[in-house]
Amino acid sequence: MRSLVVIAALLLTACSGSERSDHPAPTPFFVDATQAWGVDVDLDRAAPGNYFMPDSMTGGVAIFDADGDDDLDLYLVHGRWDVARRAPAPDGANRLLLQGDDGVFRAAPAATGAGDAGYGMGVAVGDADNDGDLDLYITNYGPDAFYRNRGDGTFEDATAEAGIGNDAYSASAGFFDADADGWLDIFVTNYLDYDSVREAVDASGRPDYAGPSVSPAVPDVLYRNNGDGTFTDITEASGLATPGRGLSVIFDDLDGDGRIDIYVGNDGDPNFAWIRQADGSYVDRAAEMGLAVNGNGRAEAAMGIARGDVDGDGAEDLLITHLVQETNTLYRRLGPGQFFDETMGRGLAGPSLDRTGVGTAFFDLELDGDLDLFVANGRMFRRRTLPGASLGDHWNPYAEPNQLFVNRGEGRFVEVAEDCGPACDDLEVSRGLAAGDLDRDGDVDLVVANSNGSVRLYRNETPRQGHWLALRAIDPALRRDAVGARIEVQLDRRVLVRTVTAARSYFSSADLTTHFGLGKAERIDRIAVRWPDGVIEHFDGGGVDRFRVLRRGEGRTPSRDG
Amino acid sequence: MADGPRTSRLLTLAVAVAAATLFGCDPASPPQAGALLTQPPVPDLSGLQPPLVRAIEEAARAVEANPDAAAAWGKLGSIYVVHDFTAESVACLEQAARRDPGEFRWPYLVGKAVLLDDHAASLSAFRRAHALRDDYAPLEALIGRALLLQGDLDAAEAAFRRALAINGQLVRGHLGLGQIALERGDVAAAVTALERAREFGGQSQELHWALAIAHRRQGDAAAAARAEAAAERATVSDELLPDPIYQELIATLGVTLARRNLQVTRYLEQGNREAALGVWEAAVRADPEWADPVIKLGLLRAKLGDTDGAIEMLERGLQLDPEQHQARSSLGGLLVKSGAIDEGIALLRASAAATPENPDARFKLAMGLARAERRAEAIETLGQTLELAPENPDARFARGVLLAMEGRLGDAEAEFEIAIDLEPTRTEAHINLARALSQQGRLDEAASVLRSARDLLPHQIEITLALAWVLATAPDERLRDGRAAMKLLRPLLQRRRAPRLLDAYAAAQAATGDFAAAIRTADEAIAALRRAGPGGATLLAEVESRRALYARKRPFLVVPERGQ
Repeated sequence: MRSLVVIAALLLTACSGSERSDHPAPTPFFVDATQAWGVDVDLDRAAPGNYFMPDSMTGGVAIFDADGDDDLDLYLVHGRWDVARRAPAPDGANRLLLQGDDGVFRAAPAATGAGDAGYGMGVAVGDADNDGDLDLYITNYGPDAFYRNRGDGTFEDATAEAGIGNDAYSASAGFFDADADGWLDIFVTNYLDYDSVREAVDASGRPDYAGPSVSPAVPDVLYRNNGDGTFTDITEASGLATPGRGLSVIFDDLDGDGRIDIYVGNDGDPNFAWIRQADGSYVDRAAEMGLAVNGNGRAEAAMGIARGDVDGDGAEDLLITHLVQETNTLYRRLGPGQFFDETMGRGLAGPSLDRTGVGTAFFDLELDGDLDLFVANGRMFRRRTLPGASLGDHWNPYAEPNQLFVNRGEGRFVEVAEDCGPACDDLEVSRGLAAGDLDRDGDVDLVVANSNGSVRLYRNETPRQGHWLALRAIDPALRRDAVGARIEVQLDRRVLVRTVTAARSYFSSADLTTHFGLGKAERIDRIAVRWPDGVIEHFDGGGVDRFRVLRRGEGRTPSRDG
Repeated sequence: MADGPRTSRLLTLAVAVAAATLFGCDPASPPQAGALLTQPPVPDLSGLQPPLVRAIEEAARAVEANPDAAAAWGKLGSIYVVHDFTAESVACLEQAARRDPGEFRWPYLVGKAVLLDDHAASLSAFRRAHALRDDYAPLEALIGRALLLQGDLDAAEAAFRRALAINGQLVRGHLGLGQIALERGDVAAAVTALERAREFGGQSQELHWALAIAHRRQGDAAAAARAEAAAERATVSDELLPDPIYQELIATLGVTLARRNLQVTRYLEQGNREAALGVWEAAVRADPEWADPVIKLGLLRAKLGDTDGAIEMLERGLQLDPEQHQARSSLGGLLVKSGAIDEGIALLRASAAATPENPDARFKLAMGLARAERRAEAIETLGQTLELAPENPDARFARGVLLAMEGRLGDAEAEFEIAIDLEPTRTEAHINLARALSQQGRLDEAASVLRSARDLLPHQIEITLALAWVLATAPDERLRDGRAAMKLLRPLLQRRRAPRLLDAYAAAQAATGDFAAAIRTADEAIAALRRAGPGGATLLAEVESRRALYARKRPFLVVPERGQ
């Protein structure tokens, strides 16, 4: 494995800079393809001298096929605050960038209609009306917005018509089928009740962004999809009205009872594991599941969540990113309803102590068959400016490098800084992160949105260690991706698992296509899909290095399969 | 650093030296790697608060005057540490360490300075400090925590044990041992250590959560649930590590408003009002022409009940800086409170006009108007406040109270309901909603409101008392339930035989028909009120009139005053 060779070399030479070899540097794992792919946006938020808290938090990004042309487009959330008016500035609209046949992203015309002008925080993507195209839920500092896709990549603001009325300071959101009725519901994490007039200062008396503890927590929101284009706020009725400072969310059957649960990362407060009951209500069982706080009992910042089976045992584990002087935390899934903080000894603790982890994703960097990890970093509070920061006086003290961790094969990681390239060299205030195969070449690229206004597209150039497979799971009866389905790809000696979901990371939305690195396997033995209603269907294996669509009903049930 | 904060060339050099020393490949490198400096690093001072500028300049001059003096470098470095100038503090403290290699504080403070920037460098500096002094428990605990975060459990345990050998009651030491035991899977040892931390006063969420995890792994769900409940109640997010050295630096060198605020908060938490006032008084003496500390002193005096002293300081502060609209607003409120109504309201109006988007200024104006008994204007102003901040529970509640006083009970009811939605734990809102309902003759609804409130806030005596009063005095026999009222009041009376509780209990006894007992209880209330002096005169008269009813074998029933 080339990556291991590189890592070994790194370890040998890490402290001998003057003895570095004169061999030409290898191609970095990620190259900055932002300009090459036509993305030239400046989403700068902060007015000089203004320390409006949402400026330091915003940065949602979505990767999805907006216009149904089978390539991935980008949605970039923008927030710009007019200090004098205490309202969103008119030039703070979100951006939709459509990918053309030439692979270049171009700004969609304003008439496309999705450029929400609220103070944007994050974005969720899902087909809310089962019409085969993807709709948008925008979380804002202020009233959220819901945009219905007309099917051609243009959108209409359906917020009022849908009955969406969340005007809190919201953060991450996601579509999932809470009640298994075939219609995607929406869960929104609300952050806190922020008083924009209140000023925060650092120890030297200079203004700084406020921390969360001075503002009251607020409840999150669950909207039930009524199936007729409208939603109903069922937060209280579902027992979800407990205040928290929610930043991140994923949907997962945490207790293995076949119902989808909600896991919310709270900033500085214990996390929620809302377990769905038979009557449709939810009960928080984070403490007994080992998901409320870290293994030392500390409630952490819980910015972003990555999910993936890091050790190949067939169970998806959770990694949560946290503040400086907190490790990022790996909760390993031991079984239904049982998680254990196994951060220590896996190579993830030490390197994260000096960083503020935010957006994050598991993906197979080099297609060797195990999941690697990328963490987008950026400080929330002013600290010593790192050498090389060039974002100007305002943002420099918040800039940090991102981090790439390569899985050594058994769920133990090593940070790879030098070979990573610009994705880990750029010093920015990174927030949102979405991973997906933007150029459809079979490996996973990254989009990073930064509080300082830039958006970076990093193209994966990592030397490949194996083959790949990309799968969409579609339920034709619902005319949409089977959000919540679990896909198992069975290879010669192992099984790779993924869940169909866009909700992960921080304020962001990932591609619904699941991506598998296969290692040396040149043939898939079998693919099993557990559809959201629990029905399992098997599909033929077949070749590698390809995109496939798995349509429900076209496979075989296990009983017929023998 | 081309676009970074402007710094002097010397700073750049010093930072480079410090960086080479601290952030090189070998984090344990001793400080002699850097060159001896003769000029101190000074950050860009523009925009910094005057006392900090002065403190830095003065300390820097001392260094320039005597560049061989470790103490001069150390003081400047300490000023930088306290005010979070990381690079400058490291540069100075390393210079101090070069000149005085036996002094433990310099590497110790380096470790503190880079704690949030460079974990390895911080640990390295702490180890250097430890080599110089091995009897400072906070240092051992810091080393232990740093090692624990890195996953070096054996070394972390050794550090925590050293800390406990120095101070056996150090909460962080026991907590650290408990966390290490949890990491190792030794649950019994974890519980033992964590319980020790609790015995020695540990109250943090982290401690209780760690206990909950340990109990759960032991299979003791009940103990785990108790620990989780304790964690949820805990208001301390982390143990404040007692660190006399750093606290002393904050107290002596912390000169910014933020640092002085920290001192004031600590003193107030300790109940030391004089010391808290002394912090701002010292700041005013040091910078008599700087408005901020003068105003801070005024606001603290107001908070501590010294209205005249507060007015004096706020007036002085506004003379120094007439643009401090919040201070003007506070002064206006105080003037109204002290009887200078017109003058106070004029100031409040000026402040609200100067900051038309600020709901707080409008709210203060409304409160001033209310205090001046100009209720209609106050209600209108609160309406303006709520247009700016519809979810302000204070404004909602205050508007409800004023509307109720004006007899607009339906409108008041609506405001109280919103206030409760916004802030369910506000006792007064529940009670006032119940009162508004009672005054409209809707006593059953009032009782229902109070029952719900009591479920939510079972330890709020006022709510229990209000519910008992409604049950004891309701004219409607279907609602009146003297025995239930007595049952509610009995536990309260076991703790304190306060006149209001006795009065309510007497009414409840009368409601059951036990007038002899009611008279005895009323007599006890009357005696207590007479002992209390003139402050209880109104209640005394009411209790006496109620006693007269009981003597005629009639219960006291509240006849609603119907409003709009």
